[in-house]
Amino acid sequence: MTTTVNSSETVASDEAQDEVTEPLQATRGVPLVSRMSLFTRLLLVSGLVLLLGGGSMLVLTTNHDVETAQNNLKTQLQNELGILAPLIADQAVLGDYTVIDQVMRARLSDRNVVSVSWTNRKGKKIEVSDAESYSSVPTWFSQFVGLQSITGNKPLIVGGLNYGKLEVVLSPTVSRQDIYSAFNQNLFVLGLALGLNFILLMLVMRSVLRPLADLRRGLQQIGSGNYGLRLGVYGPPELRSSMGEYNRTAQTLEVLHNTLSEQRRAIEHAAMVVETDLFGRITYVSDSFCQLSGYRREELMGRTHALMKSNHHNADFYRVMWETIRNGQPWAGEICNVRPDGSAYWVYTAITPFISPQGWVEKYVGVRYDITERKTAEIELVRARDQAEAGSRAKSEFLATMSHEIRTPMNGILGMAELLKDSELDEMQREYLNIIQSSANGLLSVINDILDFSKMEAGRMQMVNQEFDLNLLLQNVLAEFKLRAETKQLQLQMRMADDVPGIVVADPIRLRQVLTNLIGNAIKFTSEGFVRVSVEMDLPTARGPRLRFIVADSGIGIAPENQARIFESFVQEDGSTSRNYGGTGLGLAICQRLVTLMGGNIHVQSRQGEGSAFSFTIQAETPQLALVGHGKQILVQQHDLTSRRMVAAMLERLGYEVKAVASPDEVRLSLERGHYNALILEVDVTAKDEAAKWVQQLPDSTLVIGVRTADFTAEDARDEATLPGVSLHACLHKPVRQSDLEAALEGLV
Amino acid sequence: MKTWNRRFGRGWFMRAVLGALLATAATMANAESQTLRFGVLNQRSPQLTASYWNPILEYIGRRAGVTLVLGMGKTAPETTAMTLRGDFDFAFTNHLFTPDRDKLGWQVIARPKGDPIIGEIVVMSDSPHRTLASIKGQEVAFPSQEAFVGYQVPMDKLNKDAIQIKPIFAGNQEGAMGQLRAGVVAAAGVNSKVMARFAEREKISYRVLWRSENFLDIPIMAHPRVPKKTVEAVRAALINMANDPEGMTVLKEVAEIIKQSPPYGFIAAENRDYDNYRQFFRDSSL
Repeated sequence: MTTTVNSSETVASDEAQDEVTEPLQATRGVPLVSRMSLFTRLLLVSGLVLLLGGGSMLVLTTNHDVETAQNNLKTQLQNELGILAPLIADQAVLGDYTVIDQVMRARLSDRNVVSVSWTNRKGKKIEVSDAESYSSVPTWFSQFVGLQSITGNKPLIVGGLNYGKLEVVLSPTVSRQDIYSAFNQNLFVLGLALGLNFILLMLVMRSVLRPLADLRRGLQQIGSGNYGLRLGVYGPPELRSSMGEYNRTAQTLEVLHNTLSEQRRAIEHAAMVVETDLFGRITYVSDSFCQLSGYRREELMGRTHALMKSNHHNADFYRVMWETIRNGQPWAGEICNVRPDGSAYWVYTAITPFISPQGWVEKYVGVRYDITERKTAEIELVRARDQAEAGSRAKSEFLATMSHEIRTPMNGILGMAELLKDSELDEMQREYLNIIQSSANGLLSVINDILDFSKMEAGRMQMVNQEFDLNLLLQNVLAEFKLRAETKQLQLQMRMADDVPGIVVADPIRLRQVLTNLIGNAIKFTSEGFVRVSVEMDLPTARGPRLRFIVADSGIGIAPENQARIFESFVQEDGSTSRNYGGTGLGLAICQRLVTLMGGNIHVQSRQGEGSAFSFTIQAETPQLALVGHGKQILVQQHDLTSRRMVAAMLERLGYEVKAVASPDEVRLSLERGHYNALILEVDVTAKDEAAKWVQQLPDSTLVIGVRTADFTAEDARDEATLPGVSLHACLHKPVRQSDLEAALEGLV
Repeated sequence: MKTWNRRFGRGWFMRAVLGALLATAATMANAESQTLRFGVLNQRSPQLTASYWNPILEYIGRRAGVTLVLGMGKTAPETTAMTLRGDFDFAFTNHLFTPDRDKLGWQVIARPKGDPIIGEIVVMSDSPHRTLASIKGQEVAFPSQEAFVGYQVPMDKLNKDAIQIKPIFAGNQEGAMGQLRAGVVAAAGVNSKVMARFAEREKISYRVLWRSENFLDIPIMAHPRVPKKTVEAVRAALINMANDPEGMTVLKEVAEIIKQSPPYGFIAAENRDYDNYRQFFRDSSL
């Protein structure tokens, strides 16, 4: 509510003056001048000015009067002599002493003339004099003005004949009395001026101090948080302006205060507010925090947050928080506190240090949100995640185990089926055998898909980038499908743009997997026409070249409404697809994930009945290798031709002289015939003991690096670094990467 | 002889010689220290009169071997009364030619050089009075009843012409002129010389309504008791003063005081030179 103070409501001036001077009483030890009220100072200053000015004027005026009186007396003396001399001279010529006496006595009527005498030429003196008139002039004033009687004489010479001497004495008594009277009058005027100064100053100060007292009261009200007081505007213009400014300021402050209060109310409605001093002692706490903390306000005020401290956070947590806010930086974090009953609650706390205009921290304001529910949910989520991850790990381990366990008998089945093929079989048996092989291969494919998908779902699928010959990879992949394409009389085509580099760095296994999947699908869903694989350069990125692969066919195509769904897991174009063409529906989902892991994307363009074109990109890297192996010879043994050529190519790019062999027997023969600085040996689980025998015969200077097969299990990996009785310098994993090779050969270098 | 000797003895001669010496010494001393009073008729203020006459008297006294002391009364009648009473040994006056005063035995010994004096009745230049008759009934200032050419000669004329006026006596010549200048009176009876000097000094102009016959200027007269030798010594000093450079200097200085025009000094005069005065008094209507 806004109230207005009018001049009529203000206290009497004395009271106002008391109010203004009140603080002075509390300033003992302050110099006297500093303790003087404004009125006293003005009175002193104006009084001193008046006194000095008036006093100086009084002295100057009096001196001037004295000087004037002296001059007047001198002038009068000359006049007296000038007037009397001819008069006396006339009578002296005539010898009429009576008239001379009368003339001289007549001059005594002048108040200044106290004595007139004439001495004739014979020395006879006629003198008339008057008693000094009474003077009320005090002695000190007489001494001050210093006026003295003056005497003048004039010889009376007429026609060269001396008629005697005229003498006149003038007394300063009257002049002194006049000066004293003027002095008293001036003194009275000075006193009157001082009195008037006091009265007028008091009147002026009353008119000034009242508004000042009102202003002071208004400022006190503002200081105490009451912004509603408005002042009546009165008094001198300067103060009227100040009072107007006060009212405007109070209005602004009131609006700001109300706004802040509303904002604070809004904040406190949504959050809890706690203010503390520099030492963390609570100086303000909102109701909401009281409710959450379980403490009453009076229990919190003046206490620190240690009262609510839980053991959830360590000392470093609080140390960092205090260091941050003491440096004037805001801090935010999640804090677990405890209620008086021991129950815990979580708050998100944002602490803002308030910096004074002088630059130091004044207080801290903490805004808090109750996040107990979220934290509880998070904890539950973490727990659930941990459980899920544990389950996923168990599932992956199960799947890995199962794949191994399934693939082992499947290998057995397929191996036996292959052996059976070489035996004598009748047509029916051979047909059954083909069915067994086909079913086993299909089952193996399904198992591999499920295994990959489970790895990707668990986020355990990692790309292993290495340098490889892209052209060779594509040829190998197409070679796999050559028979199937010929069987269906499909044209299997490959196009590679000229600007595509031959050697790239990427994950060749996963690239091959994606291509195999897409080409397999293309052949599968194409009854006539072609299947074409193209490679071209996409727009390069900072990481290196970006390759675009397009697998196009002239097959049945995909309905537009299904094109967006075919990359989802376990989804095929429609139910009939699975029935007609088989498959798990995981292939494209796996492709999409693998492409994403390789830094690319995949999409399809298709028109039903006309064919499809699957296009995907991968992020490749430009190989940059140093020739570190110059002059050194390495023997490589890999059963698989591709692996053998790949490892040899990597080593040759590093400058090594490489001899690549396929079997352990060839290794042994090569070692017998020549010297090699290093031996890279495929460690076969089943052939570990045999390999160990001849490796033990190698000189110590020859580095032996093992390359484990892809079907090593975790258990096998425990012994991966050793062969029986042999210490391997390093053990690599298939597929072998350039970086792994370089690292393994560091000792050789 | 014896008797003579007996009466006087040898000491008689000595006493006689001594007495003669003493008498001579006393005479000489008396002559050297003789103070004679010189009365001056009031024509001007006492101070102006003294300023004029004192240097002359000092010079004359020194030359004549006497001490001449200026004497005058407050007014011309008083001075004349003092003269008649015998207060002065010498007098500068023309008031002694009436038949009764003529018998007192005063002798004219000298008079100032210059033109004769003339009595005049004058008015200010801007006065409406242009004829003597027009001042009838008006107030007319005169120096005093003793003033010869200033009052007696003009007043005699007015009486004889039956022009009644109201006489105002100012005490001396310049007093009457001062009243005329101040407009207090319509006309004034004046000594033509004194009036001319006054007008020159005070820078005023005036008109003469009537002028008398010529009278010699005021003479210096000697009282019959003054020894003839002294009188002659004074007369000689007066007459020779203008011939003496020192005397001329004094004359010029005092002439400057009263704005007197040359010629300066005195010339010898005798009683018979003033017979027209005597004639006037015998015929006067006053």
